[in-house]
Amino acid sequence: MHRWVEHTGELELEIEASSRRGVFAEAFRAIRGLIASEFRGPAQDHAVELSAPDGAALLADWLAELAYLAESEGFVSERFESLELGETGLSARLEGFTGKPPHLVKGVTYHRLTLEPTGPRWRATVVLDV
Amino acid sequence: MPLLRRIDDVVWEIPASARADMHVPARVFADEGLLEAIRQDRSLEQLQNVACLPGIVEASLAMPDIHQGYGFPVGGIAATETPAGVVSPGGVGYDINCGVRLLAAPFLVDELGPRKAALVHEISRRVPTGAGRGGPHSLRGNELDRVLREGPRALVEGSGVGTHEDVELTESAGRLRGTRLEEVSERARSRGADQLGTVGSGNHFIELQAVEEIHHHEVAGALGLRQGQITVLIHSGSRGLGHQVCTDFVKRMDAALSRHGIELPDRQLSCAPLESDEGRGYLGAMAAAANFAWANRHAIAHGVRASIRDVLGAEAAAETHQIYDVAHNVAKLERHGGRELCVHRKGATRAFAPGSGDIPERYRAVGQPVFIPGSMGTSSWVLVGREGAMERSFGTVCHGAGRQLSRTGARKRVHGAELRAELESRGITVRSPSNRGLAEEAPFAYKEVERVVDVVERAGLAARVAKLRPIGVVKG
Repeated sequence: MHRWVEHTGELELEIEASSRRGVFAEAFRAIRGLIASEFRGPAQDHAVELSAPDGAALLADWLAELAYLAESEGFVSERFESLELGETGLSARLEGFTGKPPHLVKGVTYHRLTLEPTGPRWRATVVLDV
Repeated sequence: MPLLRRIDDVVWEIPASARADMHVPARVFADEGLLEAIRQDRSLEQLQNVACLPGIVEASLAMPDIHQGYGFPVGGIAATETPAGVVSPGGVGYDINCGVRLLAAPFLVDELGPRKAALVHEISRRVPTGAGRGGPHSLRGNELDRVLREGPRALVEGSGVGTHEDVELTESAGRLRGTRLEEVSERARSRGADQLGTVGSGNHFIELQAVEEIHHHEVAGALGLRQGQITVLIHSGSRGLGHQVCTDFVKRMDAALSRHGIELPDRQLSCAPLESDEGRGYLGAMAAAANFAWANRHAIAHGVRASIRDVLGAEAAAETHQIYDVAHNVAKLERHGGRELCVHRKGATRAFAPGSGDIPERYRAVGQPVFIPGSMGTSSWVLVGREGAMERSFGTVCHGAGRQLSRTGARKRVHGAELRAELESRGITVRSPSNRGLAEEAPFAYKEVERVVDVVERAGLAARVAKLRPIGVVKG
């Protein structure tokens, strides 16, 4: 599950899932909610490969990539396939369509960025500049 | 809650001793009422974090419009000393050189009369807002390089867009030197190439206004402002190009922190010594993005003039002059107190006092013009920098009213359509692609701009010149 937390100027995302992989899946769903488009054009898909110094930065990169594709390609991601998730890298195939998504996200920040196990669950916090 | 002690009428301080990792005090310009609002979020904690930056001098400073941001608070200022100090991309923000430009039309509000709605509509038709792509000036290869190096001058000389006078009446003449185009990534270039001349979304806007009050007639005369005159305030920045430059360098500096022996209380404050490869690279890429932002507002102003031409004629458009253009998200190398400093302004505006050689000659005797937008539906202010700013805030004042309510909180209190109707009933013509975006920028989401400006004036940082009343708004 994810929720948007009150933040005076920006958007703060809190995620909880049963696994680390679940956090990345939930983060995808959160961004998908931000870039929804009523206009539906041709299908698009993109291969994504990312690497970062640690898991939290990798999560930030994952969100940044989805926001970048929405802004630069008008790409509305609907689902991901074959997600390979390592400690500091990931690859995935994104499927969706060409739309007119709002371009809300200026940047995915490292402010209070966390990704960690809490008991049997995984939690993450990410602040987006909008 | 950090311990704040009162220094004078409008200055409050958290001593450096409040936390072991603070190098300098954290200082806030505010009155009691604003301070109460400031205490409601994490902005003071963020200001203390800024006080931990290596090489920071004097104090981390906050203007009365301070609110919680990410890393730096919005409304924050930090000066670091060269060569030991650092530069922090988070101290500038993702929207590098977000700023405001004020145009003054040659006609009065009564003369505009019923053509106001047509003018607002024409501006909304000509100048893209909201989504990222599809600007009127698509740039490729060398054209983009020239804009990144030279700013708006490249548009005047290359495409006949705007005038040399516009360039002269822009902070830093619209051009930061020392650009390093090789440090601007392909991804940044691709995000910016089609966005020149576009407003963007969020709190960006083009506002049509009338001069409601003149507070300093001599200075208003020097700026070319008179009672009842129509002005146009443009608020935008470096669009996707600047966002990507910040993204690239926060990541790069984060990875180099341990190599530079830097420990920080917040990862978003990632930084590097000014003389390091990362520091020089960021300053060069940031300068290019800042030049792009000035060119962007220059191109938007061109669209506004074309709209005036279509609705009110060529003479009115030709006589619409630029008053000034100021950045409020930038880091600049400046001399203060005999030292060269890297002054970070994150949601804060340069406001140099009369006599500064960095002010255009025609304004040098009166001080640098500063524009403080209120919220949508409330007045904005024109001020000029005063000596107090040079003595107390590294030549800086606030940049707006400052948010006090989250976007979600604003949407819970009003629907966009409702707000649109209310603004229209008050004589403000509204054009916005999104009711949601409109609601998020509702006037009650911001502090009272009058109080913010009052603090700035009481602190001796700037002096009021004129109050501008909104009569039309094109929202991003």
